[in-house]
Amino acid sequence: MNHSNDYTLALGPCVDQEFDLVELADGSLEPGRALRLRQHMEHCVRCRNYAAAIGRLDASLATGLPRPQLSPDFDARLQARIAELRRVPDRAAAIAAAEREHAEMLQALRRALNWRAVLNAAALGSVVGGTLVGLESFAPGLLESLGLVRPGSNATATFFITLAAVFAAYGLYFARRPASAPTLLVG
Amino acid sequence: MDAAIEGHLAAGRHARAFDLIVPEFRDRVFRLSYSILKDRASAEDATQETLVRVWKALPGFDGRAALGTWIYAITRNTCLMELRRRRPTVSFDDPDSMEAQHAATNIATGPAGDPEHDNLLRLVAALPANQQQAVRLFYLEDRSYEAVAESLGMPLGTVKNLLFRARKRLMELARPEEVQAA
Repeated sequence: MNHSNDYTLALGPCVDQEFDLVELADGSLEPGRALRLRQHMEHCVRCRNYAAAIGRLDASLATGLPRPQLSPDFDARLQARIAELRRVPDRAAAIAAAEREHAEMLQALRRALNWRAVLNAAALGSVVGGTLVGLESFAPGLLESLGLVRPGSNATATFFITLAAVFAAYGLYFARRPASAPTLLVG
Repeated sequence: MDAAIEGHLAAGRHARAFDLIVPEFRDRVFRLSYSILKDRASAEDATQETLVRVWKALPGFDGRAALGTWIYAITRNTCLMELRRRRPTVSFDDPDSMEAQHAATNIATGPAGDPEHDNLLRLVAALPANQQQAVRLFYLEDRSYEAVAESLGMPLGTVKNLLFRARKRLMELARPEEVQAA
């Protein structure tokens, strides 16, 4: 590089030609403007030197910048990943299946709980009814005086009335209770 | 090729469409990833990740955007996520930042006897990130402004301006060395 070139390069090209000089080097300048620019460069050493410097830079970048390639096994690895994903069931389908399973579990628990409630009510009704019948035989008139049984009712009627009352109380309690998984699981 | 892909997509044959998408787009996705991440291994990982995302999202592709535009947008997002994951990183976004000035100084006063190739890479590394990306991609895409604009999702004029400023800056950075060498 001679010193006069360095000097003109340091000055830079004509300001209004700078952008076009880069486009000319890229080969993307519109033909009419390219012709006018070439004519201008015949008389302008600054633009001529700048165009030459851009050309050198362009060649350096084209040959000097890395041009990496994908690994030869890229496609195989990608296909393996896709195959792996295909094995995983669709997310929406998985959620639907889990919800179905959850609903079935709740239903089963509810059925089991209903049977348990019936048995508990029967047991509790029997105990309370038995106790009342026992009290009536040991202290006749006591339950009547407390207003717990109707006057003149017998032991069997007392027992069944108590049993029915306990069943009704259980039924009312479970009807008001929200049927959610935690309540079903806790009991 | 695009018509064939679109045909399969319209018919809901996503797997077959994907089989055509991979050979059609993988290299450009890789070059775009490389221009952003500047590292071959990371770019290859990002390419894999992008294509897996494309495979997952293909049934939802509605065709409102061109397929390439959609795929390159996924690529850029994948690379940006990778860059965020790498934090903290040095940013050259602002050419007047301390880091950029430091890099430029290092280049101008770099150790004597460095191969020309290393100098060129160091000059490019001193550019702001968006200019670096445009320059790398421009030469990877065989000097196609249109390909760079499509990959980066930018208007053609913006790409031309970025490349113009990048090369102007490279000339300025290279000049002290040229003068010293003269």
